[in-house]
Amino acid sequence: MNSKVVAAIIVLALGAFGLAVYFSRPVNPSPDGNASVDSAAAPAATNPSPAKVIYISAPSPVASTPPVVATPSSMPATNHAAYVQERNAELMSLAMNNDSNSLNTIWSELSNADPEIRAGALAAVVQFGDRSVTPRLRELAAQTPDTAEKAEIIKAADFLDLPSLTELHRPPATNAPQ
Amino acid sequence: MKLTTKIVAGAAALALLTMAVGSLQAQVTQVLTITATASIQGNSSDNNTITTYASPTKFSVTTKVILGALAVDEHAESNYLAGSTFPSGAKLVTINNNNNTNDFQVLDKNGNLLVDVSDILSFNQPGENSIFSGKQNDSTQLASPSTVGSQLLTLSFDDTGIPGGEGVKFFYTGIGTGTTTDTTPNVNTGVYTETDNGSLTSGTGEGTSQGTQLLITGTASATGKGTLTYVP
Repeated sequence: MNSKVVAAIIVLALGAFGLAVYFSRPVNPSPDGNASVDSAAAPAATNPSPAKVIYISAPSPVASTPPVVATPSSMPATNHAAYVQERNAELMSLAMNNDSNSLNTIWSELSNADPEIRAGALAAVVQFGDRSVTPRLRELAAQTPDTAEKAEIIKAADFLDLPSLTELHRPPATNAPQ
Repeated sequence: MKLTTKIVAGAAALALLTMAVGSLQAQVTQVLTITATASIQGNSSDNNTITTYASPTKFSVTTKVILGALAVDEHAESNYLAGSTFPSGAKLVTINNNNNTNDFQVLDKNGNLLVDVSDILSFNQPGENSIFSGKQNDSTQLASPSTVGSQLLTLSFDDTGIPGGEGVKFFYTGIGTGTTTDTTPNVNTGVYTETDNGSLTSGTGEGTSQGTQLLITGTASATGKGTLTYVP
């Protein structure tokens, strides 16, 4: 799924959750007759914009520290970066396997809409080390409009075509210059 | 202690590539990825008139290739008895110690230790200068939320002392840049999350493969996340 769509869904879900929590809270009369408002929610009372209600309603990781008021634009960016990092780590973990399912999963991410995921998938393809995919990589490069990305794909194919360290082992060369 | 003071004092623990300057408690396990290309001396022949040296052969080094060599080496050393290959899904990790050193281990896909390979793989910092940026909490000395550091970093592999091993040694040095991100420790438990990401880019070096000279260029990256406890 497009990561931006995922991020948007997460933001909407957080917003819905925040609003639900906000409106479901019982307004208990305090002894002085005013509605009780906990300290974390206090800013909402002075600026009851829906956006701030959402973030103030979110649980704070540290109770004694002021809540971090994230801007709507920065929160998806953070989520996106974390998602990319996590997904690329998953792909690299799959690259340490030797089965075709792992390779297929990695390969499928080469067509991800997110260039960072595609880059992570390409690195994972290299680490997986299956030389048989190099023709497909070259085909993919031919279909890639971005010149920098195309170069990276070709570079990956060239790398995979090299013999590996363990394949190369042979007796020491004779008369090699010292 | 201020970040810059810590650097000068050399008190900062260099988490592999991540320069986890404030993470005095940090022992984040980072998954290591290695990619390198080497050129090895070709054979030569002499017809008593002309000596001809063959073109160098290029070969690739990846994490999987390194894992394959490590399995052979550790098995030869009787440190890994299950065989001369690691199971599919095995991963190479590094763990920063609090004394500026790193342990290198091979874990299975479930995260269980297969063997420690610190006798073969190592990181060190050949330079003296460091460049840091970011924010650090003066009280906890944790990143607040993140710090970035760069300095020269060398990745070394050497199994030439192991009878029956692969007979390979190399090193390459480049600029290692790492980012450490910490959450604020819980006031009651001290628990916080640290994320370490680092990379060694444009590394260059040399080595030998079964006695034949080689030149090598490469990169390395490490990424990890851990739940740690801050102890005042």
